[in-house]
Amino acid sequence: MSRAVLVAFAVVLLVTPTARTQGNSIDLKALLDAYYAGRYDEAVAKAAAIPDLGPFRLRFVQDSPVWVNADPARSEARSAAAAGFLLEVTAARLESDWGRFSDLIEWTCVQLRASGPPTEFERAWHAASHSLAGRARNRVWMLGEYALLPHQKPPEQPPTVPRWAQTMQRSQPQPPAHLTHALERFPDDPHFQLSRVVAWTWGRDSEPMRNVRVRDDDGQRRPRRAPQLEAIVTLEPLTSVPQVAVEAWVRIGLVHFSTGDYAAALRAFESAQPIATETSMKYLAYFNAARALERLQRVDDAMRAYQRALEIVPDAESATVALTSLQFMRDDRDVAVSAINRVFNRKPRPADPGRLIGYGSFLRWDALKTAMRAALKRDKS
Amino acid sequence: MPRLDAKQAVFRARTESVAISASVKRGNAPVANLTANDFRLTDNGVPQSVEAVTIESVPLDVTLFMDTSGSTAGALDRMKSNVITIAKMLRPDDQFRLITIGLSVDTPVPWQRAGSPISLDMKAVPGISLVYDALFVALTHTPATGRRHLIVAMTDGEDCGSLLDGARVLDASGRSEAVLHWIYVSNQGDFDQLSIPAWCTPTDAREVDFVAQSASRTGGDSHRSRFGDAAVRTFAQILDEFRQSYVLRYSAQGVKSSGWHTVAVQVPAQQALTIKARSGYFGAP
Repeated sequence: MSRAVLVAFAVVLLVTPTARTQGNSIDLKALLDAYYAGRYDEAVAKAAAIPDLGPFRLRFVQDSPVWVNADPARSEARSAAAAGFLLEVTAARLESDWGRFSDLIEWTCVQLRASGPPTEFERAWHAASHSLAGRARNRVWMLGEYALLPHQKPPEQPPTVPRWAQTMQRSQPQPPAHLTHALERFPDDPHFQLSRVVAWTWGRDSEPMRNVRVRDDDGQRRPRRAPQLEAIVTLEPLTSVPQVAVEAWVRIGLVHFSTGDYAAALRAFESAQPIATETSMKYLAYFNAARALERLQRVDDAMRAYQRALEIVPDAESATVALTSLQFMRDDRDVAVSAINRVFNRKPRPADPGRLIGYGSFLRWDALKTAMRAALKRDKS
Repeated sequence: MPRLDAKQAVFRARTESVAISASVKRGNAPVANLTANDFRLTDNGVPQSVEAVTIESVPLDVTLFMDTSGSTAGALDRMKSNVITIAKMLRPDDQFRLITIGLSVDTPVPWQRAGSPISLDMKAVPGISLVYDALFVALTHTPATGRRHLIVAMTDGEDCGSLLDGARVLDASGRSEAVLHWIYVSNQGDFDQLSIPAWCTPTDAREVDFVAQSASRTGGDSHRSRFGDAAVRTFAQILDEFRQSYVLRYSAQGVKSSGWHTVAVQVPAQQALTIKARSGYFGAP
């Protein structure tokens, strides 16, 4: 997003009368002080409880730069704290208010990038922000309107845009392409490279966890060359990068699964199985292998793979639903009912990677938040 | 007419003792006081000797499924109010639970005795709609002997993100002991554009109406309403008719045990009746 657009955004906030009036009752500086002092949860809970976010947005744009510069010797750490605070408040209101925070996140991104050379906090902050955008599956916000993967060449002739559409485009702010800023600042970070290709698939795939089947235009259910297969070209090199190799295999498998190539999907998931160490990825390697086996009509093998997944994340809801539906079909009712009752009566239930994998790195939000806080502490000291 | 006795009742849809739910109405009024002799039931075309009982005095397990996905999220306050009101409509020996959907299938109110205080923690989660998975979870419940299971699903029926497909839910409905009623509720216009955006693309739900078919297969029906007072009235009507419905019990004779059994129920002596009955069951292999 250009500076001009951000300035315009700030001006709009400042001239909104309701926000200006109600904003006076929000003590943003006190919230930022609490967050900066390490009372993260307290500060975030108070901010997340504010009913009307209009005044909060106003106060954040007006007061956070003042608060950052109030201690010039520590302005970098304070700028980081303000950015971290905003992300955590966004997470607390994510489901209902993503669209009320995404522009503020980009505004904060501009502040961070303007404050000097890249820092480890900025890397952690970017990773956490991608995680939240993942829940929203907001490809355009992350990559821009017509994003290409590295191997893709732009069309020789840009598409013809009708005059009325050109007028509309000119009057609309361009999407920020938030992820590209992280790639500019940290070009060699394999996590950001992986995030780019995952974000690129959003909206092009049928959501990988879904039951939807690929159709041709005539409505026939049969696999076809699907646009998301382009992602595999970018994912394959990442399978040799240790930090992201497992997830790259899992993502390759999901792309194949979403196009109906279950044998290729199974091979990819099986490649992930022996090298997976992170619990969520290990679960996904077995759980998705089970789903592919099920589609290949290897039901006994599928049931064993679901059971293996449930050994990794006991009582995971996704594998429980999938496995018990097979048991129920086989008239193994008592076993199915017993498992359903146990899992659905359990509170709280464990986070389920099988349900979250469709949302980019959102399944790692807790870990990414912790890493961001740790980087914040290091910068402060 | 024999009354249902807790010790003798078996509602398992299995060949050793098959139990078929059937509601009988003339116009909108349930028809009472029918006996076994009034019914004609065929199992895969073979007439069976049935015993008919009313279930008016039988305690119920009632599952209320409320679709808390983005497509209905604007009505969250009305939905909460509906849950409280509906739970109060049950009798003391009934049981109640609430199923909702977010990033997973949730049970904000697990099975509890009717009349117990309800602590509601319902949230709207846009961008996903696990209708099929939730219905499967609801359908698997096996009521204790002498009880019956009624599922009322308040949803627009549009699935997005489920692991299971509609065909699997339809299959489960043929194996379930529940009667499923679908109240179609839609809340167009209440969606907040600044929440997580919906990214759903059409699923097989648009191709075959699996929710309606599943309801029909269990002997239930499809209804249309809106969250709020209208939905409560529809629920009350469903509950009232369910309590006045019949269970036709028989030991299947002259048919193969395994596989799908198509069941047809008639009341030959009376004309112009509407009979909603379980359309069949899967026999034990």
